[in-house]
Amino acid sequence: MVKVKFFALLRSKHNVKELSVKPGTIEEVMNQILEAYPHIPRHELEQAVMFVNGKKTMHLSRQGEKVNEGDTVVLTHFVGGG
Amino acid sequence: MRDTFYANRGVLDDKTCDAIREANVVVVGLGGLGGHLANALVRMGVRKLTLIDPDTYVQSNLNRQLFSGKDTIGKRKVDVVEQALKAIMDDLEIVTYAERVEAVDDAVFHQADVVFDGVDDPRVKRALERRAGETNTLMVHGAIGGWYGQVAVLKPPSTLLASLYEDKEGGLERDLRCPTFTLGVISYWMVAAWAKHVLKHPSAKVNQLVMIDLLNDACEIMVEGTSADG
Repeated sequence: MVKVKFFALLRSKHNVKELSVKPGTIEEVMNQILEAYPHIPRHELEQAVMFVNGKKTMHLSRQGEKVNEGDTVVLTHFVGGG
Repeated sequence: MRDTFYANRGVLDDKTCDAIREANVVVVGLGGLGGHLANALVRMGVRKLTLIDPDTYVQSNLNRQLFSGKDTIGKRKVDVVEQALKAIMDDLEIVTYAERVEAVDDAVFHQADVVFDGVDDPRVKRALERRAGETNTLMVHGAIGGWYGQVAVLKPPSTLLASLYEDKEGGLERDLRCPTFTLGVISYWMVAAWAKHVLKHPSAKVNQLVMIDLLNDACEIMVEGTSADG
């Protein structure tokens, strides 16, 4: 399984914290999240960033990339203001 | 009599205080982050500062930018901040550039010990990371949007911001804007991260991305870093 942790806006706005999903492509992972939490708009997920095992940054817009069994990922949105 | 920076010695040793005093520090952007950064750096003991910002203060800065006020509207940020800092300490060496960072000569970066990222545009932040890499300059990155912020000390060459921002023009700040409390937390977190780096504290990490969520009282290391000497 893949442990998905929600951070910042996703957690605040949609009251979600953590979910376990099956490994697969980003699209497959996204579909499982949306199935579990149908109140999250798809476009908000598509704009999110995924940090995989504290090593790799993946953009959810790249739906073909894969998340592997045993991965822990944090889903959030980046900020760029200053 | 205790010296001005006696209180800093509760967490910094004499060697670190000396290094901070001798450091050549560049602050790029004097808006929401940059004003707080400049203030904190001087109070930490920094004496040599280069300030870069092309803008003048406007009314809409008043909600969040430290040195903005009704009397500074229309004045150049570099001039106002320089004057304010010299009102705190009178032995500062401050160089100012009232222009975009892209127009500032590479020599400024080559001579710097550290560059603080106070800019408000992911494209400029990404370019700053690239330039810090080209000039082999340490960079302290910070950014905010709404209740949320992020901090990283970037040891060149870093691609952390390039990976994070890619070609994006903005993040959550476009909708949630930049409240003064998040700007304050993140700018002072940036200074603390640099202080740990100068101190060579075992907890100091480079190329590590920390995100902070003030709404949920949460902090998460999104990209694990390495020790500063590694």
